[in-house]
Amino acid sequence: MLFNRIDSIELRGVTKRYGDFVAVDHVDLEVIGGELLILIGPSGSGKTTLLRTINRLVEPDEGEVFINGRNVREFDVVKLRRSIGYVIQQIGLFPHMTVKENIALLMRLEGWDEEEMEKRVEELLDLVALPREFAERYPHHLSGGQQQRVGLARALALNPPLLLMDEPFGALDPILRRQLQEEFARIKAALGRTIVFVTHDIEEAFKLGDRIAIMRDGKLIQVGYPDELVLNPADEFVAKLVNADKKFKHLDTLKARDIMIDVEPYLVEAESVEAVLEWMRENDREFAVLTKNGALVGTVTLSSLLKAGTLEEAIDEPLRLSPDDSLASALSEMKAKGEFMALVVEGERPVGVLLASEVLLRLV
Amino acid sequence: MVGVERVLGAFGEHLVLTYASLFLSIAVGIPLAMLSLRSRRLASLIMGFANLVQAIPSFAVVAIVVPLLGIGFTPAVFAIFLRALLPIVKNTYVGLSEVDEAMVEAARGIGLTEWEIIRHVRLPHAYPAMFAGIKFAAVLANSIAILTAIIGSGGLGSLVFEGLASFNTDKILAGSIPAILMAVFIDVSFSYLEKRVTPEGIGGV
Repeated sequence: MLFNRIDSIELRGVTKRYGDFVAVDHVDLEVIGGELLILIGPSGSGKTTLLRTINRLVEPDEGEVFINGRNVREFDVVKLRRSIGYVIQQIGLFPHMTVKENIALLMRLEGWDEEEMEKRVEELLDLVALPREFAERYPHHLSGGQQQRVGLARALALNPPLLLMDEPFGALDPILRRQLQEEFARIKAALGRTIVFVTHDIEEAFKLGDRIAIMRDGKLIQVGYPDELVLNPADEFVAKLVNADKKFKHLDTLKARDIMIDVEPYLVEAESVEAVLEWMRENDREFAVLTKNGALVGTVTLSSLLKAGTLEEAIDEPLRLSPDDSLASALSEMKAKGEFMALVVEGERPVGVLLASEVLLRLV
Repeated sequence: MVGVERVLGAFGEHLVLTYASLFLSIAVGIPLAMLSLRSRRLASLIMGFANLVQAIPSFAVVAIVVPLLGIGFTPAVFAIFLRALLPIVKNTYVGLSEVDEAMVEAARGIGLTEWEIIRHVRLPHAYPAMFAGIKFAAVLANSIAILTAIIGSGGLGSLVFEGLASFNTDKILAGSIPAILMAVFIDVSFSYLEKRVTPEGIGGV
């Protein structure tokens, strides 16, 4: 490790051009040690390019990047990258290596002995809530969410003090994305690392970010804590992005049915743990709404199924809403109960899933 | 009739000749393919040379080494080596270079050196293409090893040529049947080896 902790990361006048296209335009940005900083913006706004100047996957045409006051150009590039965990959206995992081989690759290259590696891999699988027997599986036998957890475990293998995450949950379905965000928010504190996190999802930004940096057309528009962005947006673009004003005005007139997502893809009728697991594997889901003759039984998650002996043990009783509940009261109830998700039911029949809006949760 | 000892002796020579040249081609070809990844210009230079040798008829390649190296076993090995090189270099290069760039980028991002990327990411994905090349090269080496008898390499080719010169069918068959069997053996053995080394999770296996 080149550094044991991050005091600060400083980007000064960072500019990157591809031909005539200016991907990143004179960006000055400081990341405070220990925080999770979100880089958010529409596609093509330069957020990923900016992120990649930190581990030198992109060398800026102008400007400099400093970690703990030292220019990243002074470091050996391979050593630098091994001191920085890197998680990306797709194909991060090597398909020809088992989960264990993927996680242990850098340890092997660093010359760890077999026993240390074994122990560390188990530690990491526990941390990301994957069963230890997954160690011997190949990535294509895992669901999208499980692969993403392996990606995180691999990034943490050498215990780097800094993590760069590039839309790690971007390719997942909305409920799974929220599940993983919840999980990640929980382990974030335990990790105690500095994290720079790229996303285009403002909900994700509000859920996970300590501070949020908003980019557009290669320029940094505004950096601040979530409340500052909502209360004092720098311009129209930021106001639109957080969209708080508009939603807030309609909070009382909007109903649960207006913003719920379709429950159909998550419905399953099954009698056993194995049957539900099989369905999840086929449909690449980690969440299911169990029904019997169309009536709601409860919800299950992949991790609760893997832990439980019987289906009954795995079933959670979700928060139930009616389609005509006002959004304001629904969100207040969810916030009070600490739920990120509620089931919208009509009589006994599930009709939708309501995901709590992180932006609005700050307002109710 | 042709003596069993004569056939076995010729077969042994043929085996050594084929495999010595083949392994030389592999030992030179794979590093050349890896080197070709370094720069596009180097790649086109290496591919250009290998293609040129491929374009020359086998018989001419065998003939042309005589003024350079004389006759006997070593020049024969060299001639076969030249011919077997292209399929190995070309296929290995294609296999190594056609690995998903996003995966290579991920490997670079987590801190693998260029060599480690070749060793741990590119090579395992290149195995199917590489083995197809080696298999083809082996079959090619086996058939040219018959031809090189004409420049004194020994082997099954000498039986075939002697048989042809004296209209001795037994001799022709004694030379050519083992050569055919060997071609089959080469194909089967390399297919087996390919299955063994190609890791699970690589397409087409």
